[in-house]
Amino acid sequence: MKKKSLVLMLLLALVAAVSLFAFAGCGNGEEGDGEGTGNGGEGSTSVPEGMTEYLFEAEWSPDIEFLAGFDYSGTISGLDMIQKDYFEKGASNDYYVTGLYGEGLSLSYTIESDKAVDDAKLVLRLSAEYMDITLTSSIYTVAVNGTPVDYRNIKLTDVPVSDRANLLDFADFVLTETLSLKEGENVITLTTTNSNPMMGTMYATAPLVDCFKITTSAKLTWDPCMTNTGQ
Amino acid sequence: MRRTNYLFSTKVLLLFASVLMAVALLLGSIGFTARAATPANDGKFYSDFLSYDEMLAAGRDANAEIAAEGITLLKNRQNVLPLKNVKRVSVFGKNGVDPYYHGFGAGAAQSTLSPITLYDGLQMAGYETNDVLKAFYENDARSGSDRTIGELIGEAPVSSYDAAVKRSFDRYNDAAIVCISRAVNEGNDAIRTYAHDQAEDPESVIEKDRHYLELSKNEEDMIEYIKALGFDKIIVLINSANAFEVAPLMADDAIDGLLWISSPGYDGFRALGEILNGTINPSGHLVDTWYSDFTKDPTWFNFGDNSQTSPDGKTPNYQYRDAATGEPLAGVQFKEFVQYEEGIYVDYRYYETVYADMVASDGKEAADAWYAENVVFPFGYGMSYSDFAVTDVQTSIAAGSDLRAHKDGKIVFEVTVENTGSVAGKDVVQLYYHAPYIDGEIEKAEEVLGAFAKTDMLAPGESDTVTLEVYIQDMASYDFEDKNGNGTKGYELDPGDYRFSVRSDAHTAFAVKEESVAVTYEYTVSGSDAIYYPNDRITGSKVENRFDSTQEADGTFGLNNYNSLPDPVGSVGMTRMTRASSAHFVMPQAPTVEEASLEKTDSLYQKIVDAFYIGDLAEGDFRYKDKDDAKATDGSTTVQFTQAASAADREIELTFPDMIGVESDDIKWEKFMNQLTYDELVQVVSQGRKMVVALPDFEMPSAWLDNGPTCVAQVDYGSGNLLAATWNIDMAELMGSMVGEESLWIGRHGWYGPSVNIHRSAFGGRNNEYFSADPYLSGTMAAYQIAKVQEKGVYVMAKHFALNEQETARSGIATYVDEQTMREIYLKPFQMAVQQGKALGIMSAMNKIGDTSSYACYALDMLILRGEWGFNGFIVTDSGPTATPPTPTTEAWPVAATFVNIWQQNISGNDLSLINTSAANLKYYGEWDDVEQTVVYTPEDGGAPVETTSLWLAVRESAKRIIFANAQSCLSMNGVDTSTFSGEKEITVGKDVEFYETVAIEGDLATDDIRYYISEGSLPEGVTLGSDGQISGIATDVGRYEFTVTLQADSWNQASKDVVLNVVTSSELTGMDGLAVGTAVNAAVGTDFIYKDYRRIGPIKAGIQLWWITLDYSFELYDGALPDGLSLSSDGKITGTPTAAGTYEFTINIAATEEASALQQYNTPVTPDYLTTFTVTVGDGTGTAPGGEEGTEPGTDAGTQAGGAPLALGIAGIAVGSVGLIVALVAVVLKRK
Repeated sequence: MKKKSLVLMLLLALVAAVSLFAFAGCGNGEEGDGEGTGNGGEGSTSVPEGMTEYLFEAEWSPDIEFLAGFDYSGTISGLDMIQKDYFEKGASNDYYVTGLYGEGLSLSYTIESDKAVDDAKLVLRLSAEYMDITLTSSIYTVAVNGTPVDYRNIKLTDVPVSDRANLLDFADFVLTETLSLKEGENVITLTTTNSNPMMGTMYATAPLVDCFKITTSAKLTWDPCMTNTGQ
Repeated sequence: MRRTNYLFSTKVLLLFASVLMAVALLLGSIGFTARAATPANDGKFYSDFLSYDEMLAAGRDANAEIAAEGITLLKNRQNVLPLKNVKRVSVFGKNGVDPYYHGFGAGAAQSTLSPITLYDGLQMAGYETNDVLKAFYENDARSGSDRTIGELIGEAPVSSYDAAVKRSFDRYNDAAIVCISRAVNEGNDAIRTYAHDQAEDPESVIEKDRHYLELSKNEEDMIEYIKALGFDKIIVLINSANAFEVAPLMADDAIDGLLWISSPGYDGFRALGEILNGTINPSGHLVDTWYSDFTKDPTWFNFGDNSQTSPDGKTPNYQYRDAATGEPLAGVQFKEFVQYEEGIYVDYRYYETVYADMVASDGKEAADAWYAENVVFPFGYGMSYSDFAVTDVQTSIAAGSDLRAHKDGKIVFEVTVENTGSVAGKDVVQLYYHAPYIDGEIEKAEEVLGAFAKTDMLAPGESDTVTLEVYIQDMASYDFEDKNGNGTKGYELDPGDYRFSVRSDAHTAFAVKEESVAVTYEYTVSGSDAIYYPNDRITGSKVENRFDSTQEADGTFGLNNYNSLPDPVGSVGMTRMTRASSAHFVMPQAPTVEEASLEKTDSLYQKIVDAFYIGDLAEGDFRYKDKDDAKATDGSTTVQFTQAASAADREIELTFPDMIGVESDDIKWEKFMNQLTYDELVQVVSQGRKMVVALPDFEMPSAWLDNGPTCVAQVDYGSGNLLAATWNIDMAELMGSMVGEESLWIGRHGWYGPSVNIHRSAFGGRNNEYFSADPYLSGTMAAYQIAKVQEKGVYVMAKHFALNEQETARSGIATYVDEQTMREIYLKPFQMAVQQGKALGIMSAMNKIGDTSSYACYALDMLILRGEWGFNGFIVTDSGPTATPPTPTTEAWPVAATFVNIWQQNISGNDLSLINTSAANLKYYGEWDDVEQTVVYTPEDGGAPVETTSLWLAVRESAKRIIFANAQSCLSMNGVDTSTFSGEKEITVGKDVEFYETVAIEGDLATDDIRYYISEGSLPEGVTLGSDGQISGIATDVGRYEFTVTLQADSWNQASKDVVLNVVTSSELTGMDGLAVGTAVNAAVGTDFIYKDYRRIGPIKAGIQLWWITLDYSFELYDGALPDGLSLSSDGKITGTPTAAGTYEFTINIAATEEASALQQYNTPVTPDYLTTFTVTVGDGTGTAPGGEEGTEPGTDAGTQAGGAPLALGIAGIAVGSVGLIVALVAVVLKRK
């Protein structure tokens, strides 16, 4: 009997494992490996039971007001780097951040966590304008508490040319599913760390940033600068 | 008894296995299909082309045609060109494999088209090019890769030529073509000294004293190498939109040919090849003086960051400094300055004037020697394969006449030119005028270009007469400081001797066929008093000084005053170059650090720091408006201004379509504007980043504005100066027309162009966009170009207004220039763009006019541009300004580049913010107070609310100008609304069944010029799309066909709809075999074949989403008749007993409606509705077995699957099912045990 039960349990476990594989493999094939096409549209990751997905709007960083950014032909600075999603490219809250085309331009976010975790999922919601780009973790640095996140390359391709919108639909890109947060204050920064010019007076390669999302069992809070968007 | 563990009972296992297998089946049958991505006047505009591709091809041809007429032949020693007996050529120069087709930044091309390369152009012209040498250059490992735009030239050193390369010259030695390339990126000026540059010294540059616009050491070595090889034909191409130092090339007799090709665009090399082989006779003429040594030009001492004039060649020398510390003013934005000390003596105005004065003072020989030493090619120079000579000149005013009698008229020259050579060609006729200079009085150049024209194509011996006219008033000089002491300031013609000369360039009289033909005509202005012109010639508006405010007694300059010169007290001195003998053309000096040092108490220091402050305007401020100003009258009607309190409560009587073609001064505009809320006005003026916002309630769509001056989207025209080098207004019109066409076809309404600033210095970073050093040539080309662009319903925004002649510190640099120079040189092209070209838009510069931001210069935008010139369009800021609150702090200076605020901007007449003002900053516009009927602004510091009618009326007027310009444009869409032709349409038809479906837009369109065509994808065989939008035919292949149908109205007004055509198998009858009289039938019309299309909309989520559609069908007999005795029920059952034998054909219509599951939300309803025809035979009941026609086999298509996910699901299904089976088997085995 015991032997039977053991065999049957193993078989059931095998079934469960296969099923789990089947289910898991039916997600956005691009999420698992960090490869994105930039055409994902509205998206959100799955939220395992016991976890919560927190969304942090990029435009609510306290740094934006003091940034001197760059545009295709000239500069774009301060709160004007926050653009309204006039062309309905799927930016949450209807705003996103542009003008990050200069080495050193950085956005920071201070987030409180009620406990330390090391299995949080970090997703960036990005687009690109004017030309196709590939982001690597070395040229566009995402750091948590000073530690850069090593993520697989993000390709933002098929940016429409000769199109008034000239930017891709925003899409979600999973950077890591083993993000460590400490209890208390955590600082997340998104920094342009290259001087690879794009076009015109865009002196570095950078994306358009809509928001980032953290899925975790911890309880996260932050104090967003909602006045940046007049909210 | 053993208790059975229910969990592991066999039955449970079997049940579990069954469920798993069922799940597997379901998973395997689910398919996913990603949703295809979707995306003046009487107000009517038309394209000359029937298709986008046809238009693009015409645009490319236009570029080739412009290049053919703009490429300039500069040297043709012993008539080596066109090349004769040349077949195999070696193209030298690493940049030859990647030449500069265009500029960068706004002057770039985002085109996805493929350029015709230099090599392509040569091969198309019949030459064989040295592919070994080409391969060498293309391999960076062999030839190097250190080229950077505007900085490093990247020429391969001669030492890197390997044996294979050297051997190749034995074969490809008929001619050497040398490509010298330069380009500068927007935001930067060309490097004046590499000692300044922080980059490591590359191998291609050794001597630190070189600048970017001369041959590098590697290029020199390359040319020497070529000479040593013994090439007897060496042709050098200058692939640079910036002028280039070519004196060494001219002096070298081994260099046979020299051509300036600028940045020729993607099709320019087509023309070059044909110029080299003689198919095309070059007819370009230079647009700048090419002087010998760029470091000796007057502008060298006041340009860029002036580091080139520093002792160490590195230290910037263009910033105001704190006198106490010697450091640039700390914490203060925009402390840089540049002084146009050369004044009007820019380019040929300097060289020709110095020459003339030297002739007078030192004699012609000395002057000629000086000129030869300092000038390689005069302004307007260009050679031809032929010769041209003037054979006759007729003037409308006889030589010797007194021009005072004609002061309000014009003089017309009819000049007949003959091709006296042996090759057909064109030439340029230039007319220069000379006004008398009186020592110590109004500055004047010796010769000024007054008119020009290009002949037709002339065969040898053929003649053409061109007309050149000059308005007498246009020869007047602007005496801003009453230098002639006659008590007036403004445009004046001094008494004295005047002269007109017909020239082939600024320095050379046009050749004459006969000695008796005169090309110089003398006139006078009699008397002792200057002729004063108080009013603008075209508008009649008063013209007076706008930029000579003087310091007040209290040391301030006030907000009402504008000064384009440095403050005389506490600021850097500015010594303007003069022709006066007392300081005859003393070369400008770079400012010294000491001169630029300011005390904190200096008024200028305060001015810089306080420049961004503005409170509400004081009543004495000449820009102040109160409620008495809030009305307009046309004499018979008075409209009191107001704004709608809210969008919800208003009544709209006038919409945007009602305003199409309405003149700007029609009072109807005020009635229209009254309907808008103040929030809507603010939205219109504040959100201008490549757009104008939509006003949906007024049926005004959003407008698209965009770059660039040399490439709209796909067709790359290269550089603005290549166009100017044609000296042919037909070419300006050609390009203008094609710019308008391309804009129409891609749905663009506004064009950020043309760029009409001046080539003040050869090092200017955006010289590739700008036309010329001469304002008349620039303004003329711009005006003709603009007129054609706007003829297509696309409004221009001529830029950059004003004084943007350098890129260094362009954001906020104080640009000092006297008003005479401003008006005669730097504003002139804009004036012509507005008055002749009728430009509807202007783009600001980012620098300051004197100490006032271009974004907020009332004197420039309201008093000159509008008040004097009559501009009735709108001004858009350039990229950069950020809205700031009306009361900024001068303390902790923000990092952000804030140098203008909303109040300053709009009140000064600058209408549209190119940077979308952030939502957070919109509060600085204040809010509408419906009780007070004005705008109220509440300061952030808790201060009392401020009523500001000045701001309200300024914002209102700005919005009106913007909407007006758009009402003159193709934003009207010709009144044809195609916007509802969008989205997706799905059609399902049966295989082999004839059908007719329409995808045409619903309702009538306001045009008969409509057609539909397939723009993407294709139809199945047997099916066609009619130009009326009907899809019809008989599809013979089952499948899912996706295509895009484009509706084309008035050719360019296009909208698209994605269409899915499902071709499904016909229905199948079951139970209709062996029909016989008397035998009951219980049959059914099958629906198993029905194409299942379960589609998911939106991204795949982790985990499986299951959904399904249940289709309900209804059946009806559509045509024909069932066998006698049988009937069809609405649920598809055929029952009864046949009563008559025979063959029956009937058509059944099957309509399906869906009933979806709870998870249906992501699905598109599928409602097939189709006909199937059956033929059945009823036997006579005697045993004959009739055959029954069945439909075809049911389709097995389970829907298309996209991406990896559905495949994964299928695999998952198989896996799950397999495991389930295994479990079941194991359970059985165990049970048996």
